[in-house]
Amino acid sequence: MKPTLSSNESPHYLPAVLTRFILTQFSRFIFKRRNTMKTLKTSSRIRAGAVALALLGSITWAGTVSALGSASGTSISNLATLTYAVGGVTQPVIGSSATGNIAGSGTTTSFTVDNKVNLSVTETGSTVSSVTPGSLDRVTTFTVTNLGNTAQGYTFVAANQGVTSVIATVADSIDVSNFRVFVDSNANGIYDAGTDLATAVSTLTADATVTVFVLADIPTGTTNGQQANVTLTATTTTAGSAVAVTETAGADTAGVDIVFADAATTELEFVGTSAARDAQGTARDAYRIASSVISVSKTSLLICDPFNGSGATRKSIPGAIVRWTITISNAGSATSSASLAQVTDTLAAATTFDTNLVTGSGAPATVTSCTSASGSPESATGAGFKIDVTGDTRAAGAGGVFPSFRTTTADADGATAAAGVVTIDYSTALPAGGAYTAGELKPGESVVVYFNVTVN
Amino acid sequence: MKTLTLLNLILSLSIAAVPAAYAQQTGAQQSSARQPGSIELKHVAEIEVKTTDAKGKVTIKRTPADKAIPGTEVIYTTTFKNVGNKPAGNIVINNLLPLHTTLVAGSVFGTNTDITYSVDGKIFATPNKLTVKDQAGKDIPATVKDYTHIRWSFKGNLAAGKSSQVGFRAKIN
Repeated sequence: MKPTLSSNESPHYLPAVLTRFILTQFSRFIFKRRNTMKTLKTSSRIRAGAVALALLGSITWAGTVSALGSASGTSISNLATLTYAVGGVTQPVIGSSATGNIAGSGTTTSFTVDNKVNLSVTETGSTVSSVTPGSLDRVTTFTVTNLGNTAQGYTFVAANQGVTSVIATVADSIDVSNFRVFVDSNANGIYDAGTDLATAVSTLTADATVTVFVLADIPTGTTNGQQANVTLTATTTTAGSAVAVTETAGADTAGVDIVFADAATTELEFVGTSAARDAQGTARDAYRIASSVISVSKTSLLICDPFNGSGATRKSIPGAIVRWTITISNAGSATSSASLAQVTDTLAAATTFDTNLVTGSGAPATVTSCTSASGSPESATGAGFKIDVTGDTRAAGAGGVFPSFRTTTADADGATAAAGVVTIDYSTALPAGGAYTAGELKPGESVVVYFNVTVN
Repeated sequence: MKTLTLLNLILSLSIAAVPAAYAQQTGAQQSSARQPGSIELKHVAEIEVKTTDAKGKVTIKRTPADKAIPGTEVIYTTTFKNVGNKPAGNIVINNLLPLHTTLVAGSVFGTNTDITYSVDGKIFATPNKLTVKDQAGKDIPATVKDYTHIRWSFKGNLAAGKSSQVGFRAKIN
């Protein structure tokens, strides 16, 4: 404890030690002469004031205080000082010590702030990721926050959940594969394939957050609405290394000890299950298949025969004309358009394609109407196909006008019949334009192809 | 002659002021009045540890401040014992609260003491009299977070051989 002058006395003073020496010498001299000590007169008044010198929390601190806690290694020190009198005479101030001090300035009572390990792993966006069957490198995004008071590193494991888990009301029914985890190294919230290469976090300071991406491949053969629930688990490591931290067992040491302070988490929508005090955190996300729901149907209708015409008594006899209808639909419940390609249909051996798509209508008296050569074409001679789209918004210049007639011959109109095989190329028959890509069938739409065959 | 020379030397020096701690001399000083070290002052920092035994019974034990992570409550206890043979009076204990901690409201204790606080180390008063300035410069009542010092004034004398305790709890930031 350093004695101080009180207030604005004249600054002439001698170093304490020297003063004490002189006084001692002086008093010794006096004692030789008298039994009582004379008052030592000084040239100026001293305020022997309230010796209530509250002092020294002599603090050494190695770090800074973060919002979530003092840095580990910080030394917290405290000292109590006591003044007292005996027989009305003020005694020297005593400073405390941890073991008990009876004179002097004492020793601070100190301890070191230990390493508190805590973290949170959180899914980003509170939504599942929509993916198509067979797609690769599909991303789900998470953040990891260091809730402790010391910089740490983190390693990651991504995994499929089992069929009992539910996210966003959909139960897990498929598994994704080829898990990879990448850290968002440029902190832009987007997975950048050539840039985000680190697979673990080396150092994350206390209070800081980092974004982490999980990549997975989606299996083929999966159908609209199926879902793969996945988890991401982060394990805390010593900063700068991939070695997991371990809690300091036993009694406090003189150095910085490690205490796991993470709470248990129970599985909720995007929250994973994690035990308390294991220096790990888990969050969940899901990949949901968004695909078209295609159904194909082929129906036939006898439209006429050479003897009965198109009347109610028409029969399926040689010379009769049958109208075929091939319908491809994308269900209204689908969450993705279909991109149709090609359909081939081999005609029955005993039939011949009607290149004119005759209506076949007419009274029995005009039975020539029920022949390909002389019947009335729906559209024009040589236009053997009619294509229509329902439930759509295709229009001129915006995906094409329908119903539309196509020639039988091989050309660029997407419909051909040759050597007993009908070939429809939907990417041509349904052109791009407006809100449509070539061959696109949006959810709720159907495309119908009509053609005739004559029964041989 | 030597001693007279020394005396001259002393008297020729103008001792303008004497460090307050050593300004002990009054009119009728008795050498027996100076008894440095009559009080033993001990100050410990502890935390409470809960242990549950096999039967499920929970015991709370105090151990030296241990596994002190942010959020831990540290119990500071100052024990003062009269190790002399005369009663000690005018006992005042001061404590500058440690950095990186927050005083736990209502935790300050001290049998037979008047307890005052300070927000600046200069003025000590009871809580209702302490103020700090808000952002607008207006005086508002000080709260536990503003205290920088605690002072305990022990009432009366502490008899020889007797001891007493004061203390407080502080939470590590």
